[in-house]
Amino acid sequence: MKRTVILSLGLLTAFSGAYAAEEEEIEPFVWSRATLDLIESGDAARGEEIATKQKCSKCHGDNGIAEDDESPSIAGQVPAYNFKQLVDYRTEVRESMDMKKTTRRLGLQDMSDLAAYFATLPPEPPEGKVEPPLLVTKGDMDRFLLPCQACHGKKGEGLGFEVPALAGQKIDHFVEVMTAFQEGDRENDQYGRMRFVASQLTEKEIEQIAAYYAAPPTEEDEEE
Amino acid sequence: MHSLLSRTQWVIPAAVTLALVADPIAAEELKAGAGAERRFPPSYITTEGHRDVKPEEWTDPRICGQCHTYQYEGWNGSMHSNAFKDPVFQALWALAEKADPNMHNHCGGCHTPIGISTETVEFHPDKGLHGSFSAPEVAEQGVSCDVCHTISGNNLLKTAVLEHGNASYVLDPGNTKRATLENAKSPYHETAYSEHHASSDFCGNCHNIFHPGNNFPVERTYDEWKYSIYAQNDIQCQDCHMVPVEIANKVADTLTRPKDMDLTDLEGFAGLGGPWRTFRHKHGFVGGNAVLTSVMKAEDPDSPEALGRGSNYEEAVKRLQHVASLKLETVKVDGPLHQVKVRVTNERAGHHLPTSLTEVREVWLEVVVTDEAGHELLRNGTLDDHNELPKDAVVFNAHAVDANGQHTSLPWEITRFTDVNTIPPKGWKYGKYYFNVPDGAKEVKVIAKLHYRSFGQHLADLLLGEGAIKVPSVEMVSLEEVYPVEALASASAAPADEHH
Repeated sequence: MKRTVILSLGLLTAFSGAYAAEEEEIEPFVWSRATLDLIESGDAARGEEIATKQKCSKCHGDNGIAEDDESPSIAGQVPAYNFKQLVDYRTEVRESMDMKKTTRRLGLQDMSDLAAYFATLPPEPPEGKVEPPLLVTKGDMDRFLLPCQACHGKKGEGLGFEVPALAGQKIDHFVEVMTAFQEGDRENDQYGRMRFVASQLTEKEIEQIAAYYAAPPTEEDEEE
Repeated sequence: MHSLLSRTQWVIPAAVTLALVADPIAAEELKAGAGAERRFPPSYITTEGHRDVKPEEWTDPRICGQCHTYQYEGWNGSMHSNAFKDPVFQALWALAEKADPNMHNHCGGCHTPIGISTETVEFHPDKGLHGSFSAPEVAEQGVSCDVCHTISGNNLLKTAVLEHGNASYVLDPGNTKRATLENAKSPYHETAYSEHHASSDFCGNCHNIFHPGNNFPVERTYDEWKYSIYAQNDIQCQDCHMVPVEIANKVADTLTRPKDMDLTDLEGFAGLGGPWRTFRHKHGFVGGNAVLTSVMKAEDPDSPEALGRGSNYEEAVKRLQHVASLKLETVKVDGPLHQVKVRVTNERAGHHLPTSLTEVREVWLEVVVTDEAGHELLRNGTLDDHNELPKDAVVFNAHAVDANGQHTSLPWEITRFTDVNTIPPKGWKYGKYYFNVPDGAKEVKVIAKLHYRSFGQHLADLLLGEGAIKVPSVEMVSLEEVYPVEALASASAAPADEHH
C-alpha cells in the first residue's frame, strides 16, 4: 500500500515537472522496491535547481558544506540517506521546524532529485589530526558495539546503498546527533540501531569519535 | 565443568547401564566414540579438523543483530534462542543427566552446541527442583546465529543409523559465516556460500533424534519429511519455517517453493550496507510450540532478550490454526445408536502432526453432541478439573514404553512405541464416537474441536512442580454441524474406511 503511494506520487511529480507539489500526501518512509527505484531515479541537475530555489545553501553552505558547526554538511552524502531524512522531516518522523517548513512543498521526486544532487558534490575531508579511536576500528564487544567502520566504511565514507557517511561533519553537529539518539530525541534510525549504539557510549567517547571524523571547525568557531 | 577426562570416565559405566536396553553394537560404538574423532559422544558433533574450540570463537547474536537486524528480530525470543534457557527443557535435561550421564552431550548437543563443543556446560544438581545447567553467556544463547552460520558440514555417514540426527554437524567457528547468498560480502566477516544451509538435511542434524543406546527413533521430524510428498516436490524445511505463515500455507497448498513464487513481501536488505535482496529468510523458525512463549509471560518490550516474545507465540498459534482441517460424518447405526466420525487431515505440515517428541505432544479431539433442547448426548475430549485429558480421548500422538513395557514420557527410557497415532503429511485419521438419540429428538448438533498443547499437565507438574503452571492449549480448528434426526435415519453406518 505504502509502496504504491510512494511510487505513484513519484511518477506524478516527475511528469508534472514542478518541484513544489502542493501539500502532497506522503506516507512515512518504508523500504521497498519502489522506494529504491525512486531514489535511483534522482536527477542531479533538477536537484540543483530545486536546491537553489529552496535556498538550501542558507544552512548547508553553497556546496552542501555547512558554514557553521551546528548544521549538517550534506555534500557527498549517500543519496538514500538524504532522501530518507527529507521524507522523515516531511512526515514528522524526524523533528525540525526548519526542515518541516522546507520540505512542506517538496514532492517525493523532488526529494530524490535533491538527494542525487548533493551526492555529486565533494564532501569536506576530515581534518585528519586525530588517530581513530578503538571504538572506530575495533568496537567494544563487551558492550556489543561493532566498530564504527564496519557499518560506515573504512574512512567514514558510508557503505552500500543506505549507510550514511560520517566523515566531514563538524564536531558540534556530530555530537548533537549522537546525543539526540542517546536521549531518544531522534528515533528515525531503522530498528533503533543508532539509539542502541549511542546508549552505550559516554559523552567523552562520542566527542572522540566526532573528533576523528570531523572536518576542521569553521573559522568563526576557531576564533571563539 | 565437564572436562574431556571426566567425560571418558563416565562413558564406560554409562554404556554398561545402557546395555540393559541397548544394542551391544551401539554400546561398543559409544565407547569407540570417545576417541579422537568423536569427542562429544553420544552426540555426533565434530569440529573442523577436530580442533579444540573455545566460547570466545563464537559471536554473540547481539553483535550479529546490529547489521542483520531483520534476522535477529525473528530469532530473538524464538525457540532456537530459548533452546538452552527453556525451563521445561532444563528440568527434563536435569532428570536425564541424573538418570544417565550420557544425556549430558546427547541433549546439550542440539540445545547448546557451543556449550557441548567447548565442554563448558556445568550441571548444578541441587539447584532448582531437579537441578539446572549453566554455561558461558554465548553458549546459553542456544541455537544462535553463529552456531548455524559456522556449521561447515555434517556427519551423516558416521551416525549409528546412517541418517542425520543427534547433532550430526561439523562446527567451524571463526570469521567465515556460511549461508545461502552466493554473492554476499561483509566488511566485518568473511562469507561463504553453503548449499547445505538451504536444505532439510541441515535441519535434520538436530530435528531427528534416536536413542543413543538402542537407536530407537524418538524424534523423527526429518524422517517424516523425507518420506513425504513435500520432499518429493523438493519443499525443504526452510521453505515453510523461514517464511511467514501466510506464505507457508501457500507452499503447502501448492507444493511450490517460495523462491518459485512471485513474492514481494520478503524483499529487503539482508545486511546493513549490503545489496537489496528479493528474498529474506525469517529466522524465528516458528513451529507449533506455543506453550513456552505463553507460560513464560515475559513480553517486556524493554527486555528484548527475555523469554517468550509475543510475536513468536502469535505466529505459533497462527500456524497451529492453519495446519489441520476437520470433516464430520454422522450416521445412524442401529435403533437409537448413532455414530459420528471426525476426520482430521494434516493439510499443511510437512511432517507428522504432531511431530518431535510425539510421546509428550498432545493433539486431541473434543467432541460434543447435543439435541435441540441442549441435552448432552455425548461429550469426549474435554479437559478435566486438573487440566488433564480423559482416558478415552482420541489423541494423535505416540505411546512410548520403557524396557519393561511400562509407559514412559521420558525420552531416555524409551525402547519402542506401542502405538503411533500421528497424522502423516497430507494424510488423515479418524476419531469415532457413538451416542444414542432420545425418543422425540428432532435434531442433533455436533461440535468437534481439535486442540494442541506441547505437553500434558502431568509432565509440567513433574518438571516444574505441582501447579507451577497450567499448561495452555490452543484450539486449532473447530467444526459444527446440525443434523435433522430424520435425515440420519435414512443413512446407515458406512464400513470403516480409515485405512490411511
